[in-house]
Amino acid sequence: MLFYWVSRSLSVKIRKFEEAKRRNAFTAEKSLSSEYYTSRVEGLTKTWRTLRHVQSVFTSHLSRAVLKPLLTELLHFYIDASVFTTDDIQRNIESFLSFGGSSYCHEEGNTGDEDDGHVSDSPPSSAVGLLLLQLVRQLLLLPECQHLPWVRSCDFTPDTRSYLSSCRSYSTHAQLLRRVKINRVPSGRTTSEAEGLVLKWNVASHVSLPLRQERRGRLRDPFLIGKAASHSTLLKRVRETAQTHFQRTLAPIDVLPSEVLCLLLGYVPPCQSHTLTLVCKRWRWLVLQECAVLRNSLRASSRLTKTFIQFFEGTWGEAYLHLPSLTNVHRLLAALSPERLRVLQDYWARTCESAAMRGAVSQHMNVEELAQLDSASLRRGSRSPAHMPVPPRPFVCYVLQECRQTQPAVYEALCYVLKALSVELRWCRTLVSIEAARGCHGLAEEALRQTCLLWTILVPDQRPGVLVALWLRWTSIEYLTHDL
Amino acid sequence: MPEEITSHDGVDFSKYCVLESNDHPSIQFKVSRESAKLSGLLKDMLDDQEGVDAIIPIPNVSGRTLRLVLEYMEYHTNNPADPIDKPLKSSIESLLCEWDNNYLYHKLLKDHDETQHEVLIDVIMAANFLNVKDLLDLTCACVASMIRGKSAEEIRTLFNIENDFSREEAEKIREENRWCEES
Repeated sequence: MLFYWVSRSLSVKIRKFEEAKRRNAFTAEKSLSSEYYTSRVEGLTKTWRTLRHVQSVFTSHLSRAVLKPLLTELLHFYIDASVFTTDDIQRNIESFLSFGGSSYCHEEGNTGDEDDGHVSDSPPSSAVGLLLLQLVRQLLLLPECQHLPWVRSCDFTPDTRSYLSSCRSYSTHAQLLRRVKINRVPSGRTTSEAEGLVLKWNVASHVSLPLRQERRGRLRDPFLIGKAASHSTLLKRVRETAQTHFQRTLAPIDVLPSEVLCLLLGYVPPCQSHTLTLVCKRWRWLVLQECAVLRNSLRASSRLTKTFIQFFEGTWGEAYLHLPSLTNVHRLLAALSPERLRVLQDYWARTCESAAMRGAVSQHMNVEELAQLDSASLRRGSRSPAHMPVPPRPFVCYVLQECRQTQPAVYEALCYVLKALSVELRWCRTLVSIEAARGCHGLAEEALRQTCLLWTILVPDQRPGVLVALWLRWTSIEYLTHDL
Repeated sequence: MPEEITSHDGVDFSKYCVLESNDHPSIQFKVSRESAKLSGLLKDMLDDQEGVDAIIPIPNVSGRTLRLVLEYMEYHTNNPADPIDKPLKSSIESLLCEWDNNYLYHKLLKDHDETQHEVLIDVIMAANFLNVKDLLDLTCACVASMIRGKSAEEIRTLFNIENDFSREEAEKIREENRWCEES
């Protein structure tokens, strides 16, 4: 589906190119040269062919019927399934898979260009969709994957939900992105250089991923596979240690024979297989050697881990960053109910109606694009200010400054935005404590710094009503501010 | 409730059998053959001893545990247990009938206290020995439900399991699946 959408999008682009070329034939001197068009069409055609090839490779290994349950189970590794129903997850998979080819993603930050005959040469864009695709491909490389139960299930029902409607499911989006680590600081750059990039990216609106099909060698899990000799030695050592451990320990559960423990562990959700290996050596040995489902899940999980790391620490992670999806207000707004969202959007739209107000807001928020918005595009809705990728901190500060004039409903909606922000930051904070989350470190620090700035601005305000309301209602914010 | 007896007199061995616990002195229970045959082990023995007074010693099971096992078998003789799907998708309480819930959380885990799981483990051992599949599944699923959602440290604490990993070993294992660490 992903490739279908991307391919279709490319086909449309090629067609529009040709049309634009014909339209501009009479004004050749004013427009780009025909050589340019030719090269552009060739480039797009080449990309399209590449996509078709990738699609054929993809479909030859994976049918749609398999893809969906596979991804569902994939997400079970990364999302607390108890939060969502399977239907929720599947709906979001649909939306994320169509992410890559959706107009939202592809044209974001590029709106209106095609109308002028300019076609962006940005590569096919995506974020989570392509990442999931990568993960799926890695999963499929696992020999054990063929035996995993979800691969054999084939209940596929098309879901026509659009990306925008699905992305309103803030929690799923956030949960996914919580796993999608962001590397904001390309290696070799200093912090100050990175901050320079941050300013730029706050205005930028999307991540763009080249559809580079790197033929990586099959990943090998060093612990589980490794070298054959060391592997057998390891198993022998683990087995001996486990037996010694079994004889020495007197915990009631340890008296259970291995086959009973395996039966018992079989009821534990596979997403906990890694946790089980950390309990003790005997349990680790059981998971790795005796419990097929847990072992397969763990191996799949390890494979995904490596793919995550490669994705974000490798070329893609350094070159293409998805900052706004974590930090812009638009995304935080996704946490709101439609009613509250409408209230905030109306307020925001009214604020931006006049050029003077836009200028003031723009100056306050340092959002250049906002000042450039013309009223015609606002009315047309093509550049809705409510969908602008506005950094949250200045947005929140600005609206809070306007609190005296703000309607209660607006204030309440704003509270929810802040709550969403605080939850997001709490996750970031959790990630900071994980040494392994190197890729996210910069982002988390940046997020915390923004929060610190936010509260620095709020606290001198010394309006007890506002602050008390904030503190009483949001324990998550209280948690955050303890260390600020 | 399984009937505890002190004498075999009056036991109709065509319909009943007698099971002896490993206590000293042993505790004897009168059990219907139909119920006893929920146990794979007892079924084989009773089939072999057709027409004989079946007095079967259960060497690995105490009277207290045997009573609990027999209670389960008697109830489920006429109330077959529903299979429990693997892996657990939710807490086991939501999957069980009222009787099973009461049995698990009041008799095996006293007052729903997960830390007092010695009886539960004893019943697992007995169910495994006697080959009472449904009971073994139920109790194992119960323990799995206790494990579900807990961190490795919490699991160790709950079951009093010794952490025999060195710091380096634990770090290495974490590194293998660092992104998959349960949050």
